[in-house]
Amino acid sequence: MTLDEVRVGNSCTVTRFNGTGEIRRRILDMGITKGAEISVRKVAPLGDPMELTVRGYYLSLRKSDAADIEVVPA
Amino acid sequence: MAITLALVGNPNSGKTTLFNQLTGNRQYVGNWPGVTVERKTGTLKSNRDVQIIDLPGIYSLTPYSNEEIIARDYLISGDVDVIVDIVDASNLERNLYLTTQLMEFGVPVVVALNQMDIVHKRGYHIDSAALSDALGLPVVEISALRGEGIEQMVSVAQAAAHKHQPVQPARFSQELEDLIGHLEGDLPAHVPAHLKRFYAIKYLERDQKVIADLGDIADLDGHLRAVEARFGDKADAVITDARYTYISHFVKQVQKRTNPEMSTTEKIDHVLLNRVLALPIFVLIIMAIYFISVSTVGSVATDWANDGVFGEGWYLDPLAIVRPESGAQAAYDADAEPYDEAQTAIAEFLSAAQDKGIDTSLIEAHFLAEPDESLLTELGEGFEPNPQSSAAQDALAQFERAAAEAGVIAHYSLIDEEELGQTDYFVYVGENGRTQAQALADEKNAEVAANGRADAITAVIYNFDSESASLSGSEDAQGVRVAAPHDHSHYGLWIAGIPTLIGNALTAVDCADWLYDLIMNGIVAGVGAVLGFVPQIMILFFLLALLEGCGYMARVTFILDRIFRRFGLSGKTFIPMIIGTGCGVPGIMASRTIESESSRRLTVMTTTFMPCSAKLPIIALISTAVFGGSWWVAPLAYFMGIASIVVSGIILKKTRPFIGETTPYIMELPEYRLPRFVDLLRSMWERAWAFIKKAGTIILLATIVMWFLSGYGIYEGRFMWVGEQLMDYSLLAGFGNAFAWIFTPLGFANWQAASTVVTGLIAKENVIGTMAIVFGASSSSWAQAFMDSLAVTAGSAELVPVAAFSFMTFQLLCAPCFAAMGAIKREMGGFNTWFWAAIGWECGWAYAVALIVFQLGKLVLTGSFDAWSAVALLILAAIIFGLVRPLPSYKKPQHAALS
Repeated sequence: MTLDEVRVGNSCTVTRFNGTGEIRRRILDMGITKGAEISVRKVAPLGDPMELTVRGYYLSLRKSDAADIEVVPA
Repeated sequence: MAITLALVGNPNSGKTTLFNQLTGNRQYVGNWPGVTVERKTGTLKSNRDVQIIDLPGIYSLTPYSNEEIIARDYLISGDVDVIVDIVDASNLERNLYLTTQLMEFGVPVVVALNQMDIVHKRGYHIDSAALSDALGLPVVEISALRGEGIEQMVSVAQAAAHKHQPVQPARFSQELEDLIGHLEGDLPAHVPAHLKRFYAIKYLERDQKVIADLGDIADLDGHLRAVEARFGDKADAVITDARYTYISHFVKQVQKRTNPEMSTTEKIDHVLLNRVLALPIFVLIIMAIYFISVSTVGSVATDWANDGVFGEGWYLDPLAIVRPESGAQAAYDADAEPYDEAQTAIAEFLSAAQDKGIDTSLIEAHFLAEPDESLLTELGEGFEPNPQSSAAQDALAQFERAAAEAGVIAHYSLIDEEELGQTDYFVYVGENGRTQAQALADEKNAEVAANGRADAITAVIYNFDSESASLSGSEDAQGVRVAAPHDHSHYGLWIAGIPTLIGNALTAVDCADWLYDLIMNGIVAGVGAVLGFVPQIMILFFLLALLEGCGYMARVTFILDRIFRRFGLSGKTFIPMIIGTGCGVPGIMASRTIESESSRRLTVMTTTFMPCSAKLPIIALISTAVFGGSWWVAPLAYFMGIASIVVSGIILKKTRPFIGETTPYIMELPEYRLPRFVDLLRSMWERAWAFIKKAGTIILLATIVMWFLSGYGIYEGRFMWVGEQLMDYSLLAGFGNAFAWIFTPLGFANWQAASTVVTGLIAKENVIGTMAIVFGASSSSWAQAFMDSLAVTAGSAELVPVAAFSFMTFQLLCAPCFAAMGAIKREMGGFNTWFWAAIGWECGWAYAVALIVFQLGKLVLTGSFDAWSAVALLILAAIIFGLVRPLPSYKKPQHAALS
């Protein structure tokens, strides 16, 4: 499954990241790498973006970008 | 020994606070993403030999943003003796990611662990000694906010710089190290030994700049393929992964959870980012900001600055802030307002009497507060104006008889800008006159009631001289019997305004008339108009600094991203839009909180489409004078503003300059924290000062030019001062005539209307003022004269409403005032292509929309199709095409290699 499909309150582990371009580097730099644990904390009132906890801090990401992140439920 | 110390760290790690602590709070340079990103330089407060360089806040050293390129180039340059890496201890893993990159420059690195208090509050413990062992770097705990541990940090950094011990870079897995080692061996000889690892890793990350630096390196490709084959992933992901793996090896030992609990931030977010409550709370917060900075405190402050300090003067009356109705100003107004009203009535009645051929010179001289100078000269040296004298009373009686006989009734309208209402006055003398005036007023009221807008227009009849008359139930003195208000000092502690003081000083030194006029009406008025906004701007920026400092601003994007992304704008665009309804200048400046450069520029270009408070009188005039106070004009004006922003956003987003930059949204949501009061004040003052300095210089120049153009002209073949009386001959009128033809397809092509467009550039408040002057000469109601002139330019009387609406549309949407243009210039970084693009887009958009309004309105009303109707339809089609066309495919060349 991909990160955008994870329900609020659930956690998952990154298995692969398929993003491209500038956004790819940004997402990698923010610590979303293979094996990183992510928990989905919230979704914005209008359904997008989503708020995550990764490596102990809060990160907000659009669902379209989250769709490039392959995960398995933790 | 002199050393150079570079401060590097993630955004929001407390770097700027530390920089201010180290340098003594003095070297504050604005650092906004996208504007000229500069590095700040200062010297250590306690030791001038230590130079401190504050680099922009960065997450990584990839070459993607200006900030990162500046930081990286500087660190490679070799000018740095020691790097102090500010690490936000509450976000240890991600902050150490940058640390692992800094360790590759061969420059000594000292880790400053900041924000330990948040760590403790969250129930964590960080063992800084263990961290130091794991990294092989000195680690110092500091609190940048309270200035703790900073001296120790400096001495550790100095020691590290003196020793110049090479830093051992972060070690990755043996397999990866072997591959990196091979690559290092094959690097060209010109790469310095201590940067070999940096270059090798950057090569694996396909860093375009490094690849360019290395020159011809086709033979290195095999190394990259080897890494990707071995790890089954792209090389840049392998490197990032390796860094985080390195960190996670020791971070569990270093950082221990002692007392786990839900953090304060989570608790606050539980409410503020709640799926249901987030939007209502956001609306409330925005309303509160608007309420404070625009409508209540802000408007009190602006009134005080504009009408008091840069106006006639003000009362030192602090209690009036709480109870304005019982203050000294209110007492003065209670006396002054009826007097001013009466003066207007007298002047209007006298002018109506003159039209019937009655001599009014003696009445004018005795009963007007400011009679014409030439009139007094005519009456001779010995003449003393005195309404109580028998000469004055005799003249009055004689005048009244003549006026009653001739049946003089004056009719004029006054527009209330705040209430969007209009009052029609009918001034009479004698019993006959009263009946006539009452009949006229009743007629007007019936007409208004028939239009269904009885509350927008009222008719009042007014006795020219009677001692008292019943006006809305109360007995009020009227006409020539109303006494002038007392001197200001009678009502309270009066402090004269700066223009009054300067004016008095100039009169005292007997300064030449033209110089007096230049200083007072050019410089003082112009600069005063700008400085009058400063208190409001300070209030607004204080509140914005509070929102930014506490961490809510980042969450605004989170809440609104989805809506504004569709228009190519950022979630934070909403704030400039709201602020812009008060004043465009702080609105444009508020765009600085937007991170994405293209969204920020788009916002700067479109913010002033929102009707600001100075444009309200224009809306009031059109809605009352032309549309009889119809309710829909004002809402439509705001709707046009919002629609212009949205439509411009969608259209421009598909054009090359804006499409070129993708607007990624990867946003760290920082911990909530209470900002320090001094930091809020500093941020507020820094922005306000920039406004004073830069917008002030532009508006000063512009107002002097406008003063010259409107004051001087060629009359009877002679270049001379023309003033208001001969305004038709001014250079401004000539200028207006020269380009009035531009407005032909918009339906208002005469020099008067054209000149209001020009004076509107100084301040939009001027539009109505100029109209009163340029249309006022011909008839008693300048609003009527304006409409009469539109009947000529538009082609027929039935097209007047369309032409008037087109005029309003153009005035609302075209380039803003000089102060706002100054703000645009600042945000765009100078008089560059972006600045001119912004002004051009605003004017072009205003022209296009006004043309569509007039031509299509004309087509509907008259049914005659001509070439201009075709142009209007073409423009409309072009706008619709811009809206619906698919996003053109455009690949960013520099990123193609990376994907």
